[in-house]
Amino acid sequence: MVNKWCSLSFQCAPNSPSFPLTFGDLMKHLLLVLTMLSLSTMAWTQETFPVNGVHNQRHLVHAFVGAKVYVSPQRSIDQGVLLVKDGKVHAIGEGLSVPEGAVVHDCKGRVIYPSFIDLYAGLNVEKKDKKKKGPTEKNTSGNWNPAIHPEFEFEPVFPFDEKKVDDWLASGIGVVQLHERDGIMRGSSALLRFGLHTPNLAMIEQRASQHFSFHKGSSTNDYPSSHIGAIALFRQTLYDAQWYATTKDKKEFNPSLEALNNSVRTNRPFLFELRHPLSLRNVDMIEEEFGLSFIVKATGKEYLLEPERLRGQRLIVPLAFPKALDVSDPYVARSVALDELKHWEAAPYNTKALLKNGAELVLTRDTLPSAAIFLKHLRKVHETGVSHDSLLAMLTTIPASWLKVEGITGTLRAGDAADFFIANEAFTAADFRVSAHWSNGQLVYEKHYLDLSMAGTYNLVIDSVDFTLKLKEIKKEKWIASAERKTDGVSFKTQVDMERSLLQITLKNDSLDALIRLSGKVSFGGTVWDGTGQRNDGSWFNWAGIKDRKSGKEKEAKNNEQDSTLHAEPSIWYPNMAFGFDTLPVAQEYVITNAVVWTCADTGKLERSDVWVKDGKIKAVGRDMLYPDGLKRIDAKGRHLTPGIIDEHSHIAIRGGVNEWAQASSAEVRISDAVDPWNVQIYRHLAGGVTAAQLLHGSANPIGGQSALIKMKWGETPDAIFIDGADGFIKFALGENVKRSNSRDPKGRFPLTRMGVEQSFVDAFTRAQEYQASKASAPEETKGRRKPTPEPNSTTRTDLELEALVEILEQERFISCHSYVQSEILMLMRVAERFGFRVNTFTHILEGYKVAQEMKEHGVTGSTFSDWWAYKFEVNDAIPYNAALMSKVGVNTAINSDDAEMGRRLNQEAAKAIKYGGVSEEEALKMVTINPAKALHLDDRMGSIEPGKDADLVLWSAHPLSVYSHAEMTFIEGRKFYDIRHQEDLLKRNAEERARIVQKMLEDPSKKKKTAVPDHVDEYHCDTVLEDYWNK
Amino acid sequence: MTRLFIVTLLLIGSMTYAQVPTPSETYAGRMLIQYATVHIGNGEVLQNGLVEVQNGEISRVADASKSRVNAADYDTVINADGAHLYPGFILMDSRLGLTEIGAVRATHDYDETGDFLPNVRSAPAFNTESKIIPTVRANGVLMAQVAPTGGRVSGKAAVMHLDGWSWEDATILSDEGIYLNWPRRYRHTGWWGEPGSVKPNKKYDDEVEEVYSFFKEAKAYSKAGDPEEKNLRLDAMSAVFSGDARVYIRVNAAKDILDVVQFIRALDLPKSAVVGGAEAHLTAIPLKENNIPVVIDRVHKLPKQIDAHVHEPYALAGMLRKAGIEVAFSTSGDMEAMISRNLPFQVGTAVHHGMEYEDAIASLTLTPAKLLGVDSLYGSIEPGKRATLFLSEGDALDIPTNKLCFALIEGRFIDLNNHQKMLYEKFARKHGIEP
Repeated sequence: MVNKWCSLSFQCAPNSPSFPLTFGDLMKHLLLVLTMLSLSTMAWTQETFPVNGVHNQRHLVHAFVGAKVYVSPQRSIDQGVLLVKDGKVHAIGEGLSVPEGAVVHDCKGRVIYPSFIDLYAGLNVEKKDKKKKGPTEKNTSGNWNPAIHPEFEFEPVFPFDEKKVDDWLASGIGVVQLHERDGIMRGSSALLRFGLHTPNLAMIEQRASQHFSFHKGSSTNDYPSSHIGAIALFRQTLYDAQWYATTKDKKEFNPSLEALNNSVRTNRPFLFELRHPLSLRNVDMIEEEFGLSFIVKATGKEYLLEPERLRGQRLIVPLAFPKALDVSDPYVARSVALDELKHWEAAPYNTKALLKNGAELVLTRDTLPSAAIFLKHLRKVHETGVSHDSLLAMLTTIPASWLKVEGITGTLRAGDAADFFIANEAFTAADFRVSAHWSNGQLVYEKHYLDLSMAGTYNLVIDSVDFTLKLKEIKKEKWIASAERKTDGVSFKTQVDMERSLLQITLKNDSLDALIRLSGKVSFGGTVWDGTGQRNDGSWFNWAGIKDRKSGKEKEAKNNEQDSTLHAEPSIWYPNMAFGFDTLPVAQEYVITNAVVWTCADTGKLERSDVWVKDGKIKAVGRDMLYPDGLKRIDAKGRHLTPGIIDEHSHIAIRGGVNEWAQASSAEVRISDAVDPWNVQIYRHLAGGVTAAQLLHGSANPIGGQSALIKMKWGETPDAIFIDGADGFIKFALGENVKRSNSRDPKGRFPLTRMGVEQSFVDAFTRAQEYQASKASAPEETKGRRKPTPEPNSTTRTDLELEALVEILEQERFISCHSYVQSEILMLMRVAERFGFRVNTFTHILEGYKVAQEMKEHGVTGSTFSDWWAYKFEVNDAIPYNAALMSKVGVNTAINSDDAEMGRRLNQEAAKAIKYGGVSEEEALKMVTINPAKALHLDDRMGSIEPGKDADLVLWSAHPLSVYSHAEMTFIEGRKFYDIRHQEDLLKRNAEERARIVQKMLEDPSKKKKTAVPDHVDEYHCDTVLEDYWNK
Repeated sequence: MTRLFIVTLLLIGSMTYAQVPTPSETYAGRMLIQYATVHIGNGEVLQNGLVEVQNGEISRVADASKSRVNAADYDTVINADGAHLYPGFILMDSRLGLTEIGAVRATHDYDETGDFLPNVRSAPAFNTESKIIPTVRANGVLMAQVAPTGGRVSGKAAVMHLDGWSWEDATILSDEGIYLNWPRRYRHTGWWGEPGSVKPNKKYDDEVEEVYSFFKEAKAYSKAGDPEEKNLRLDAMSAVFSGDARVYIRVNAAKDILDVVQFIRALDLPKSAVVGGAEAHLTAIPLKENNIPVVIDRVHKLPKQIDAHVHEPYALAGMLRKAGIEVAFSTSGDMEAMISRNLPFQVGTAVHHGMEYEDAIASLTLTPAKLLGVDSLYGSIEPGKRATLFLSEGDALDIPTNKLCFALIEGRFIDLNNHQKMLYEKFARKHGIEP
């Protein structure tokens, strides 16, 4: 039996939810059917289709006899008999009798597998169709943002490119899931069989799963312009959908939200495409926030993630591994990032590591260009220690169960669809080849391979002359052959073509002007050849050949060797790059003795004193204390100990942009969604004595995004580097950046003047107040639960932007505002006062010295650059005396960086407050320690050396405010994260690791290596606007 | 007759409410500066020095403890006990006077359009009214090479006093050298506001070829005698081949530097320098063998490679000096003009990371003066040289101790006041704080 067209949505997928088909759907299907009627030239019978000619149903049995058949990964039958009838497995077993009238296929010595299922097949199988519209062009969306189109349904355009499909079938993959890889909410996919040329035969499941990503794709809307924005849009859409599902007064029909709710209600699998392993954390957070569960298409680098993150994940693992780099030039070799080198070696071990950590996996060929590469990589994964059966499950039963099509495909039990392929050997063998692929009981792919076992020496008698002919090896399905005449050893240029069991041989010698053309057949497993030939004059002769039994074989061994580039399992560092730790530092109890201790507290600067550290905290500060026996001592004689430096304004270790600039307010975005603990600037900041920082959104819009407060815990997981229990902060901005004065293309986004900037704030907080009131008047059960919840308020739509603004009104979130000139500084304080809250910090605040009195009265911190100016018109009046003046007036004053380079020498920047304005050296140091701690509401835990505080300490080689000084050791919570002496070891280890891998890359046999480029770290500033982020 | 004199002089300066201080006349009298630590500029130091200045010229330099002077012979005697006397620091490859505000294009006069622009001259664009300049000299930077940055060959650099009524007045030596931006093998796409990825530059070979052919043709032109038609570009190059102008080549990557060394040899350029030189330590041997000096673009920057030593840029100068390569300093890059006031501290950082102190002072004074061809009159505190020098209360290379008592440019007491100090004083008074 064949699939019925109508069964697409109804009968064929018993486990999937049924959908009410809309009239539009029906029309669409009808049109498709009509199109197919006119195009179809298939010989296959199609139950609902009229036939041009005589009725042609064939209810024949095909019997596949003698193969090793994998019914499932758990069960294989050695001398199996597989009976196929009407598209299904009729019966299967050992020694089954073959019914009378069956078509018998002799499969002795062969292996039969269920077709592999690829849930993430690359889209390149479709022929280019210029008329086909993508989701954003189609504009079906009811959503304001074109990157959101969950209602889009993938419609394959048949027929596919046959050559490409054949290559997929040759890799064993017969069932694929296809979708449009475009947008953030991408719509649904189709699960179908390859090789069948009409949808009614091919389709297994329409709307098989819903697809998602954090990449906006072809959408031309400016929003989102960053990773953080994409996440915010994702979350907001889910809140909108929840509201849409429950609200009583819908004012619009929104197909996007309808489709999304429909897919949730019907438990359709959700599939998420990851492009950076750290984004898995973002996906997990969304799962938790909305009670959803995603299958995740992984990147291949997930082995770098923490085991807790991986446990229980359902991951689609790509089998693409990086190519060896061309590192023949030593200058180039030294400039490639070490993590890139290490990944090249580690990539094949990814699957093994993920399994070990408790993830459930399926495999995908994704966009790998050829079956040969896919199979080679599959074997590599096997070589790392993943068993054949386990791999088979990842290619068959697990993907089937994830898409709820177990019992339809993925196994070969009686009643299952006959989706299988026949191969010469197990797929883990080096010369594994698919010789036939059957889909839905029909032969869709067949290939007669040259048989490598024929390689060897043949003694030929051609027209009574003896020749020796050698078949050496197969390249691109062609024999490499040579021949010579035995009598005189004259060699002939030889070409041997084989088609099934027929031979065609050409022998040529130009100097003798000889051309011999032979035609013939092979028999006895290829060992005996015979046939006829034609002389130059057109007359015919006979020829024959026989194989020398001793020849052959040795070539195969050589081929295997060439294939293998799997290296020993490499070690993983924390993070897995230059300066990563072999093991993470742990908190110890110790005393740092005889240091000059700058407490940055009332106790001031203490000569020759000790600091006792226990359980990550400062236990005591003093002199001549009684220490328990054996307490570890760090002798700091002649050195200076200060609290860890805190940078109020940093943009390091953020990926995918710091500015969600497309709208005047982006209060909904969170920098914490984009923190990158694998960024080398964290290590460099440790080397500059920095232990904590506020990672801020940029300054492209009046209301930016929510900050992340981190400690420089190099090597730690993304969750562990945040400061626990810290207050929430948010970036605001004023002046030229907000007005987009210096943008090449301001695009008319409001505001363009300082007048408009004020109105942006007034408008935002007015709306926030109204929102606050509306939430407060919510029904009793949701009252007071202003925080986003999965059970939405039925009347007020949860708005993530306004949620953040209400937090400000309620003094639960605090503003750090990028600011330059006095007018706007006063303006924002007045707006805040009008709405009943206070600005927490003015950052940069270059004209703070002009309005220091007003700032003091308002109670705001001023966190400034030490001496930057002249880079914009609005910094004309910036002066390096700013910090001194603000501080002397009584404003809590900090010095910040906004720059990865300056961030690592903030001690020098603090010294400038001494030079410009005569601040005392202790006060100057406070500007980068306790004062920023106060600004960040962390002064009860850090910023000074006092008992009970976090042991965030820096040991300096000399006076900490001098250029003749550097950090020797940096501690966070008692753990030594940086030690300049240890750095020497790390540099040596890095260099050795680099040399070792480069050597291996040089030895790598692959011919086309990837061009190496120097490593590169994105550096962000306030103004960084990633207009081309999505094109990278 | 003491330091009090200086204080009075400075106060007079600050009472002139001009935005940019007024140049003063050369001090006409005979002046003695005694008991200071005198950093000669040639690598030597006098712990207790004696320096005599007359008519804008240094007339005597000696060890105060071994010399006898009669205070009555001088119109001014400055007892500088505990203070440090330095030759005016010289900043290389600078945009001072050529730019004012980074984001305001109207204030940019350094990046001309076109590819090969050797005839473009920086000196006539130099703005003596720049508000940035007084903030820079207040930290001891008293001379600068100002250079254009555009195109492949950017144009001609000039050596300027950071004081003067007009560019002509401020010019020490115009058309001193020619700047060449060497092609890059790898391009960092995007700009600092929108960082992109690193990509191999497929046109690198072609671009290098263009440089070679331009220089070859210019060399031929310079030898050809009277041209049929005067070509301003080629004409401007002749000073390069006669040895009257140095070719400054901006280049950073090691392999690119090797190309530059080959280029210098192939064209037989009499005077050249590598500018930038981020990876010059990897090519130290060929640089040394060919006597090519390096102008380090800035010390305060991030290492180029992720797995480089965190202090690599700080240590570069020391490594090059140990390899015997002449070094001078620039502060080019982001916010280059305003950041040039931090030149002393950048070099101080280099001292902490491997440079010998007096050698570092030489790299700020006599070495650049030699590169610029003005060492007969500038770059050190030696008899016969012009009195461009300054006195600092403490070590001028460290931030808290860099406090200028006075500075002379060609024997003129320059006003150390500036726009920023004036704002400071104005608002300090508003807040009732003693500035």
